[in-house]
Amino acid sequence: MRLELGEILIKDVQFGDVSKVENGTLFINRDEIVSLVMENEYIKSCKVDLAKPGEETRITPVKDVIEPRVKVDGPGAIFPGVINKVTTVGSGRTHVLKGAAVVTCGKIVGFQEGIIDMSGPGADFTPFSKTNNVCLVIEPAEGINQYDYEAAARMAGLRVATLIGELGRTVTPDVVHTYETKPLFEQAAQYPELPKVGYVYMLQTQGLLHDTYVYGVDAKKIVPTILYPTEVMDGAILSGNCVSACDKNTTYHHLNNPIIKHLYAEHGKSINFMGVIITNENVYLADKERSSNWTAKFTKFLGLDGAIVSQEGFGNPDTDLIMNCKKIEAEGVKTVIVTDEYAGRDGSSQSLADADPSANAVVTGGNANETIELPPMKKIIGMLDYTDKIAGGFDGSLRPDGSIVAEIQVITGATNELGFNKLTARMY
Amino acid sequence: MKFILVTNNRMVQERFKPGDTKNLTQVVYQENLDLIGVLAEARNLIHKGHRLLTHPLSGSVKPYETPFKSVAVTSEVEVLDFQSLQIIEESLATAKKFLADAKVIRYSDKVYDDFRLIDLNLILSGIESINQFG
Repeated sequence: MRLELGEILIKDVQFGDVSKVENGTLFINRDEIVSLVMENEYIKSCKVDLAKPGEETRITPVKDVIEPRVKVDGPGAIFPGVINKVTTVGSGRTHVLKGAAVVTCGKIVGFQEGIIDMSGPGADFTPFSKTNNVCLVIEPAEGINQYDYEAAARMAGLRVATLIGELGRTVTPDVVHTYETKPLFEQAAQYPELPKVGYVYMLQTQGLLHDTYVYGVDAKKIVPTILYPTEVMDGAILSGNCVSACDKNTTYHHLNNPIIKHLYAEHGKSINFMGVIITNENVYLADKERSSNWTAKFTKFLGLDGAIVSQEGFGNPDTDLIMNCKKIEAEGVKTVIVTDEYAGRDGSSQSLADADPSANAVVTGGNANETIELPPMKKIIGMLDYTDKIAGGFDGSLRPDGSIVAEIQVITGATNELGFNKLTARMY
Repeated sequence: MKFILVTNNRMVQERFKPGDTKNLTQVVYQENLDLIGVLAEARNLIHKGHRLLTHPLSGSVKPYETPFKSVAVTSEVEVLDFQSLQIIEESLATAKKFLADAKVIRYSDKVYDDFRLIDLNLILSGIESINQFG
């Protein structure tokens, strides 16, 4: 499967009469976006606002971040099984509005999280301070429960991102990247001298506010399976995960999974990148056993020499991570696991809830318990009234002047477990 | 598979009843237990030979935020299951670490209901898996 990813570099976003992309500027017709979102009867109101890098703006509580993309050639369309038909995607050509993002905000439950500061010290901790953001602040209709509100906000973001992505259909990209993975035997034969490496992609799947979707299927209902890596770039995996802002994967993270990109960068040089095994992180222990058995089975079945295993979330996914690691290593396949840490504010506590001697190659996305002071911002997109009650906030964390003292886990993407940020730890 | 629920969540106790919910034989419900108390209660059952069915640290909501927890164990008493014991002990250690490190936050009643709903939903996804084949 071969995918050309054409990046149209977006340097600015502005409101305009007509939605379009022109000379690197994304123009958005605000009314068009609002009417699209308001087609959903579960939504009472939608406020559209823009946030650009360097502005004194705080966006919160962030639910999802989505990169606008459009499929211009090849089977299927973006977000298959959800926005478009459930055609297998990942081949042909896709255009990306690189530097733009759709950010959804809403107070789905009373405790919330997810802060994006566009400037100041907090901006260093989130990749979305560098994107030109079209923000949707979504209020539910009267009497709508949390399930329907979450689904409505999720769909609103995806529909708006699809609408904006469409603006890039006829624009000539500034850069075109090509990614290709061949069918198994051909791929193995292409670089027979290089170690065969696969990617075990763990998805958060535990229930309300903790879900992920694959081709429209709730991923807690799947058994591990194999994807071509390029399918992920066309929106095969979507986030419905609203908890633990620092280490959840937004849809933007899935679309831009840096582990997949780095494995492709080494493909044909130091490794032979064979493909992606997706798996879940369920509540039921037998599900964990079955899924980790199957990931291990697939690594052997694919003839892998090594596997990168990335986790999503905190707590019981540590158990899935270690089960995957142990069982894959027991098949004789070397692993590197990617996680983050809750090691206490001073970093001295045990980092994970589970451990095993076979987990001897670990990459961390940072310590989510580190504290940070976020100064007040001139503009708030969303609402601040909950910030005393966010994960990682503590009593008095929202000061009267609007500044916030909290752990970095309040910041969207701060300790991302795909490595889509700057924090890590090195041993010398 | 027959199971027992250990919970301090009123919404879970109201939703799942022995004789009403398939395979549920008993609900150990104590509203005044804290999260550590629920895990300790589950550990007591594991010591008696019940096997852990759902992960005690389900969800990404942190132990110092939500006070609510529901855990399912098997109804049948067998020999001590060491994997269950290991998971419950590690979960207790993690929960204690979180609670020692952070101040517990007081929320409004509405927020506590949201926490109850999340816990209900997580255990519901576990119960669906437990019950899907009778």
